[in-house]
Amino acid sequence: MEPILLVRCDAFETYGVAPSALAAAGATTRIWDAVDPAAERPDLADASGVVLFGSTSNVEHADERPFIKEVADLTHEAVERGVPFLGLCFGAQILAWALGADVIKARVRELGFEPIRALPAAADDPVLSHYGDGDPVFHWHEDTFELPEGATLLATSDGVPNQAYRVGETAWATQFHAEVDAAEAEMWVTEASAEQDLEQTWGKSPARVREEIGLHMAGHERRGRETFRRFVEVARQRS
Amino acid sequence: MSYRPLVAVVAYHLGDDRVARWPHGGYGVPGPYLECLRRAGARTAIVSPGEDGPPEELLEPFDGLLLVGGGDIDPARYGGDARDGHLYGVEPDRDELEIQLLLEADRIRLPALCICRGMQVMNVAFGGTLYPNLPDVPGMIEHGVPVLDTQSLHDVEVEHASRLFATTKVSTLAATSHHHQGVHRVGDGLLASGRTSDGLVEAIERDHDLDVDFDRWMVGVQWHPEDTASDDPAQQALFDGLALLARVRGSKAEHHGIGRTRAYAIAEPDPAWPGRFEEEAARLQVALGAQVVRIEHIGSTSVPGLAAKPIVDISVGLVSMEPRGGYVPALVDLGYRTVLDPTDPDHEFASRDLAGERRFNVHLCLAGSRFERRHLAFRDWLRTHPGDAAAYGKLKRELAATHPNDVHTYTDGKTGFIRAIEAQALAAASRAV
Repeated sequence: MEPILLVRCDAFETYGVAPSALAAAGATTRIWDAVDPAAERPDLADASGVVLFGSTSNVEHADERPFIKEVADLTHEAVERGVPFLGLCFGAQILAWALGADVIKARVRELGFEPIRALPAAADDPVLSHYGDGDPVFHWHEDTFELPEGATLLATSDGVPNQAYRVGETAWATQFHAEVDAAEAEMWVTEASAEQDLEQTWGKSPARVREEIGLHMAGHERRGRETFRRFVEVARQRS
Repeated sequence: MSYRPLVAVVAYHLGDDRVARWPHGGYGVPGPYLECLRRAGARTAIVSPGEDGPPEELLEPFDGLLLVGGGDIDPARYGGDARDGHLYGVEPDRDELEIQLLLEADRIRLPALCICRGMQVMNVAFGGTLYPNLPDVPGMIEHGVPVLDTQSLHDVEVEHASRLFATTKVSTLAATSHHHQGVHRVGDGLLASGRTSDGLVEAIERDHDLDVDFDRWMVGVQWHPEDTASDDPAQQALFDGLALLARVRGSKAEHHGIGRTRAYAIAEPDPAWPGRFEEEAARLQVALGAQVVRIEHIGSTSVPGLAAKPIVDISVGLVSMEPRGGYVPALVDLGYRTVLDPTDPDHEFASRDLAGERRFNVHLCLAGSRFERRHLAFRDWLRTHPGDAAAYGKLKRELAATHPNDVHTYTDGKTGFIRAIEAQALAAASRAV
């Protein structure tokens, strides 16, 4: 099996549980550091799957940050070629945008753990069916997206309805950070709270977010690992 | 010069006239096996069938064991059919010797590598069974036929959580094989760590918990690593792994004070250590680039106020441990010497000396792996629990005072304390962040 391509879209990306979960599932990995202008975009023929990670950039920055259009091109090509794709947060927005849907500001900004509601369509989904109704998942986003044509919504929430979806048989995306682990969430909180008042901009204090991490992160990491294990299964079957 | 381990290799029978210019038979081992061990820095000695004595006595001089290829195992040992027409080259006394040596090696934690027939012996020694003739089994790919001198080159898919992956750091190995029998039922206490696309078990190992038995290593491979080891580092790594663990074991063994271990010294806490870490971390980040997830200062020099060997320990969390080519050449360019870790799938080691003194130990590890988490948890615990840090410092000073010339005893003496703190720290970390 060819490697799974991890697409890095931010300087503060540490990939959460992905490296260890992918290795445990027997997959090899390759990085494309999309925010590094010197890094060449890899050929999808050399990848058995693509994971597009989160970003502090939003689609609205596409004109001044060229990497955004590059990752959207790669995403479009992956879907066209049937290379298994998993988009996380910004990656979920890029999948929608690459397929012609609009990315817009969400009604509320989401930070920290909020429950999702699994929809009936998720029950037999090969990658995401293990998320149960009411599972708390980790969010950090202000944008959301319209569902692209041919998409099936798999999970929703009260604050932001489009939480997880599938396009065709090979592309998946979660608005929440399915990959994040405790160490990464802690780093994001530390970095972000040094620059801004989280309570004021995001509605939750660092202490509150840390409390939620303490309560919910162990289960979230377990479900995240399972997501990657299943994604590798899909990639293996198609390679 | 560091201790060179001595590895026992069990010989074949050579028939009459097979020893040049001599009418009698004898015992022999094909050269490539020995060349691979020597390339790995080991000394070799041949043990022959017919050697008399209990296995503990036969293994007493040795630091490691290698079982090599050969004919079929006596089917009576695993309930097979002794009349099978495909049987060849049965050597009952060699079967007996090898099984006894393997079981003893397991008991005394002697590292062992078992190749081709050796792997089948290992499976049978632990109660497993064999297919009598693979070409008769439906759905099998080509595995080569020894009596026809045919061989096949095929891939082996490697289980990540295995000694085999830890040793090779490769999840798809290219393997040359020629065998007409194969593992059917896997023996008790063995893990199937590699398979071909037809599902045949091509690698087995003793299934030990990494956290408890981190120094144990008994690996069997159905293919012939010695055929391709000179060109394929992953195949040579099997011999390197055996030799490395044999060296560590031999260095710790009772000895007469010559060359088996080394002196070391504990230094008072030095406020310059964190700065040295920062400088080295920056060099490592530039050299390793996007493979790096995080670089952290770990070990005693990362805990303010703790006495330590004046070596800065650095944890480098990587996106992937394979291929080794993703990090080994970059570290070598920085002046590091890299050492594989044949027991941990998520770890490799590198060190850098300056002016003949060890200055940096780098632990390359898979980001998010247990290896990374327990080292960070240990550091964080000592940084926030001054009582435990003081107790650790006292233990280190005592060990250094009683064993100033034996770094292995010093290191082993700390292990119990470290593991206890790590367990506590990991449990605390999973309760709350």
